[in-house]
Amino acid sequence: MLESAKKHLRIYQKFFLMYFKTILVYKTDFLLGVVNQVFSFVSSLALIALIFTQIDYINGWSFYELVIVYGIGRMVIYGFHLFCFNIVFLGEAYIINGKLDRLFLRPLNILFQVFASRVNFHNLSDILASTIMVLYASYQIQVSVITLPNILYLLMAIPSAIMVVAAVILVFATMGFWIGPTKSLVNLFWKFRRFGRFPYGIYSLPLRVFFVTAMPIMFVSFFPASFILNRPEWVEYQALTLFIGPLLFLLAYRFWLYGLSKYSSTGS
Amino acid sequence: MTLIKAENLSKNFRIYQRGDGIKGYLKSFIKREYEEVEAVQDLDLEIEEGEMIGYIGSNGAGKSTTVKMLTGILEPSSGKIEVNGRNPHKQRKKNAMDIGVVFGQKTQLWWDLPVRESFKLLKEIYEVNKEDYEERIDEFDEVLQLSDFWDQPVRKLSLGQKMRCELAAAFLHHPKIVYLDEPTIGLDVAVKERIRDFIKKMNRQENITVMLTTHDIGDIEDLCERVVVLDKGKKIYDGQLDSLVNRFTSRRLIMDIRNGEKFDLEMDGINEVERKDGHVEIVFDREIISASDLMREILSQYDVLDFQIKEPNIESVVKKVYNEGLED
Amino acid sequence: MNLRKYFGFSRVSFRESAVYRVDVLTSLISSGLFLVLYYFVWSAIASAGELNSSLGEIMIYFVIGQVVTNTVFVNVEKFVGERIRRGTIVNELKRPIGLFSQAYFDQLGSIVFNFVSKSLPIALLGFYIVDFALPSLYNLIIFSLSLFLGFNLVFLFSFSTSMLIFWTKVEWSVRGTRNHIQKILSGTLFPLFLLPDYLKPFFNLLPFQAMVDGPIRIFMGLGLEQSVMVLLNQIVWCLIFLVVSRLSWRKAKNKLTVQGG
Repeated sequence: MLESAKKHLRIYQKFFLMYFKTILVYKTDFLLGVVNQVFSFVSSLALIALIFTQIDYINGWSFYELVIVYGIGRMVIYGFHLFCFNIVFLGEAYIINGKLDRLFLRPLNILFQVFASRVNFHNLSDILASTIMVLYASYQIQVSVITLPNILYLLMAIPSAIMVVAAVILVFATMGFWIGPTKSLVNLFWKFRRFGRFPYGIYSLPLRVFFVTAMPIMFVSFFPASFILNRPEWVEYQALTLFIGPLLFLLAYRFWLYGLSKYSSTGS
Repeated sequence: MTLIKAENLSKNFRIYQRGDGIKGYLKSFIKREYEEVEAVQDLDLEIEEGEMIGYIGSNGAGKSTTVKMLTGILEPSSGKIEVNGRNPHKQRKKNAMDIGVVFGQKTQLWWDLPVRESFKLLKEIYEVNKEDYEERIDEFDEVLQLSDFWDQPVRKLSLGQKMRCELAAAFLHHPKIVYLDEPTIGLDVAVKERIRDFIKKMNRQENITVMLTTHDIGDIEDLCERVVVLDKGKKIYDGQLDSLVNRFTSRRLIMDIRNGEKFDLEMDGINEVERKDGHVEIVFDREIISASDLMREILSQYDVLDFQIKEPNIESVVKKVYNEGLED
Repeated sequence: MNLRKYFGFSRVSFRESAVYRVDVLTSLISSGLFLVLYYFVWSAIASAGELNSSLGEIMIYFVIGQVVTNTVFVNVEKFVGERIRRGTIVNELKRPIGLFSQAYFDQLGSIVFNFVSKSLPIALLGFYIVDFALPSLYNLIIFSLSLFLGFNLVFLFSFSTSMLIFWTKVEWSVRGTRNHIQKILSGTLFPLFLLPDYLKPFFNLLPFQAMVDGPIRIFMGLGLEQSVMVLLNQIVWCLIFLVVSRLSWRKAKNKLTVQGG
């Protein structure tokens, strides 16, 4: 068991390094990605800025505070894209096109192979830019945001949030075993992200419940941000953020294993 | 030693009918109609260590399903499989360490990485130690000439180059069994030969068992003594290749006859008469009439300028098997 | 000028779009989500009491915005990019019907389909939920004209940017960048009538407001004189990008013939 884990870790390291080298090869792609990210970044910030030309606070949240919410959300999403990009393609590329079979033939965990087979270093620039944005916005706020407890919290909350996203996408991908291409569902999930950029409090109760359970995007940006911005109203959720990632991912993984066993018994 | 043993192996599939349009799509969530297909029925198969067998049959006969069960991808619906003492599905990872697989079009290498890096990764995954690895690569390079494109990304390789890499990758870790599915498809003659030589070398040198699924007659002729023929999920032949060929008793007699258009002969045993390219071609059954008797009859009635008797080649045999199955 | 040949492309693309029914569903859901989100956000903004406008007006703007964008926002990058990727772009040079015309009529087919399958349902649903006043008949006619001009403008702009694909080789970055810029500057994400005065000139000098904001205003009851101004504005931008697209296509053709695929 331990030997196997060590082996997987070693192999992941090798993959990681190898994909890092590929950035140097695909320079144009990398730059194009950066350009696209810059515009996406700028246009979202522009939107928040435009909204704040109308008022100074939404539901008690200021411009820079919402920038921090946005920034943390971006760090999580692009962190997800960095490590877990391939599970977005699980439906089409693997299950439908039969690439999945190949993974059975290697002496490694199947889902692990999907993760490891793509490390999207393109997204490093985005994560960096988002971090700078959060730092800058924190500096603009009078209350000190960059404190040791906050940093420690984020170091746990962000990976957990990444796992939340991975869990949701994995569930959608696994559904592909039964209902075919689920790319549109995944795209729909990305659309829900936008809701997480605005204060939890503006939404009606049913929506709030929805965004904490079925589509747990509030854990992706809002709750972690609310912790470092000293908002005690959501303290239970802030604590939950630390555990919900691993928990949801474990459940999603179970579902994935079930899907795999069905694949083996009924074929594609 | 029997390396692969399959007993009463069966595999059934449920093919779900997917509804059309939005209504059908939604309806499919409630109730789904399906068709039950028996891809493999009651298969008994035993393969000894060091054998190279050809596994042939028409498309849809159940070949890839069998291979998928033997390699642990699919779980059998019923029956027993033992590969190298293990159940390949339940002990997937352990079994994977001892096998190599080439799946025709689906590559086992990483698309964006150079070949060199793909092999390095495989070395780690299959736990090949450093010296052994380097020896192996050198050995492979001799026969397959991998150094020509060692630094190129896999996606830039030609089909022939990719296939050479796939084979090297399959044999890299001294597997006990290698499953080859269409390894020479689409390749030119020179590359095919090189690949076949490589496979033979591996089999001889290390006693690696090879199970070959292919439509290429040359492959079968060159590599396999034993063939197993599958038709509609059932094994219909398991034995020597020569015997299979001899089963086919029809022969072809090609003649150049003066005034050939007037050729009109009917005899017991003649199945077909064709006029092609100025020749007259007669397909006859040598169990009913011998070639010499037929010739004598024709010579007595016609002015034969030239003639040739064609044995059935494996191509036609295999073609027949693929197109019609084997009628007993 | 055998028009039937050209409209053949439209028919094909219409039928193609009709096959992807799930795509229609997801577009509708996506627009729906967008409107739900903005309802909550703008309700929160409006509750602060400092808005120059009513929540109702803002929501109508967004609903009509979705109606417009579902028809008008086309992606020529996909059309061009596919052909570049597959290498068939070289064939386009030999054909009697140029790439430009092919792309245009192809997109025309898509927007007709999109109008019927996406914009109309959104309009009807929006009308029912948000409760806006139906525009007068003449406003509707001018709106339709403006919608068509908006499509032409987006098409020409998108075609021009698509030429970059000859250099970038991949289409997603061009399309993504263009979409981000378009969405924020056209009035899709933020009602342009709420812009503070110091920003209005900047937005008005750009072509994007002519794509979405213009048609929205016409629908919401603009007077004759101002409607005509909107149409003229759209026509002027169309002409500008017609020139730009022809020039950039020529440049791209040069690259193709000089450097190969």
